[in-house]
Amino acid sequence: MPTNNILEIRNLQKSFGRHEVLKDISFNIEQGKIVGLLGKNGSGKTTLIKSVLGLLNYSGEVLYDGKQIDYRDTQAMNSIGVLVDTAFFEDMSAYDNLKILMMSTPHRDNSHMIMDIMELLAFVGLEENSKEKVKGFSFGMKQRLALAQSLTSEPKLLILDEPFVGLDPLGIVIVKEKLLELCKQKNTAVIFSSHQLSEVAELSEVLVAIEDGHVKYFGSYEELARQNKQYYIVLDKIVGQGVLQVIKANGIEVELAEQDNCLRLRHGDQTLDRLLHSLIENELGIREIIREDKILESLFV
Amino acid sequence: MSLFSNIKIELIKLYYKKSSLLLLLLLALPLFFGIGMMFGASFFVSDGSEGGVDAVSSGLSAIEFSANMLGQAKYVLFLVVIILAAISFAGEIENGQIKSEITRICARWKILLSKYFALIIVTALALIVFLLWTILIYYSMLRGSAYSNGTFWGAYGAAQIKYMVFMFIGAAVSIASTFILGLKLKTFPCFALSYILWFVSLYTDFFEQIKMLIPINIPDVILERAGEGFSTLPYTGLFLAYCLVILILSAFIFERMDIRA
Repeated sequence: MPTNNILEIRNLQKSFGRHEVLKDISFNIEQGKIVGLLGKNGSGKTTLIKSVLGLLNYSGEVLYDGKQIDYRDTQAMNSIGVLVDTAFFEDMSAYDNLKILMMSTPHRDNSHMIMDIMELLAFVGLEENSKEKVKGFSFGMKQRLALAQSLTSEPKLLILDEPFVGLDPLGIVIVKEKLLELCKQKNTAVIFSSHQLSEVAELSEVLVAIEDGHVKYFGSYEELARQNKQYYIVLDKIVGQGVLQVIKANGIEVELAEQDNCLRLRHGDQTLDRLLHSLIENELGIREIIREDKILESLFV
Repeated sequence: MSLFSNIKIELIKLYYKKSSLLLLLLLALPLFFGIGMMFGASFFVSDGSEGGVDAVSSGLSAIEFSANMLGQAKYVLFLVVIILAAISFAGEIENGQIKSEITRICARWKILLSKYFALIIVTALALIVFLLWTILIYYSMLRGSAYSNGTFWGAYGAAQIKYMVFMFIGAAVSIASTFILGLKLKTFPCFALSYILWFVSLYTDFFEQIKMLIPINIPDVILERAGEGFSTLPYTGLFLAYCLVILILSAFIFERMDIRA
């Protein structure tokens, strides 16, 4: 059955010696979607990315564009843009670093190479530094150049490992805009790992969270938000266990928070109305309702 | 992507690498020797008496001077070639530049071979420039001196050229050896071990049983047997086979190894 998946990962496993980093990873990425890859330090995000790119040997299956990925297929591999621990030739200029990368792109029309390189450098805000040697660049400038490198081949899939690290706030905004533009205009799929939860929340339509070598969560951001939205309801008086039992008997998952006059309602909007009715019925005055949106944080708990 | 295009990219990278400037040391050495000989410092030249090439007593030809200088400069030549080989392969694996090549060029054997051939081309060019440079020094500084017989070719010119060619073949073997070491070692240990191995191999000429199997011994044997019709063809084949086997083995390991940097 034809799917809209650009990348499918099935039962991917990777060990270094006896240390199992990825135990069983399966998920897929649809064309034109932005996927946020989350996990604690050492959870295996970079290992997963490097495995998918063929830099590491692994067991399991990776399907790209519906077919088993062939790391020798230059054309297919060149349709994947990569930003992963990018290292540059430091004695060369930013321009020359991009040039040698473009030269290694097969079937590329190089007649507009100079223009293309300058466009990319302008996009990442390095046009004025094009002739400077990379060894003089700051970390943020190198990160922007790495992003330009990942876009040299007009990719169908972008795989980015920590793309926002080292970028200033304006740089982050620009990169986010460009990624959204790529998705909308060219139907490019993007998977990016990041510890910057605000950026993940803002960009991602789909989330993949890895924990202990497994996929802890794979689904839409909205679904995760729905599951993890919680409310604190501060009441006029202390809630007795009896009242709490009555509310729970109505199928509402509620518990006492740290203070005795405060209830915590997990899993959000659907049950809030019922809880409020129940409280009113039990003649409990509501002083305040506080909504807490620790959606992505929930993946790390 | 053709191997030729990859070689071109590797040549561009070598052109930009600062370490490539070390090749200029090869030019400094004969200049230094030429100046010394101009002022009559005879100890700058080996006596060349082995194998009937009595170079100094009969005066050197231009080609003999070149080969003689290469004999002095071989320590620098191999040092620089091994440094460049270590940086361009082990260095790129260690620092991570190889990742973008692997994810684009894809066939790892192509990456390995393109780096190898780029270094071979650079070494060949360096030796050609060295030859021309030493000839220039000979004619501009030594012509008319006691060390020069004023001829270009000399009695054993062909043997001297073969001497230089086998230095080049020895360098090709060293580059391949440095590559295979670079698969498991970081840049500096790779360079150090490779150079130590080459240096140790210089002393294998004491062991008659294995002497002819070691590339660095053959240039001297060529000069020793210059008048005896010594055939170098089997050794050319043997050493090229060394390179081939080492490169195939390197490619085999490289294709299967994790790139963790």
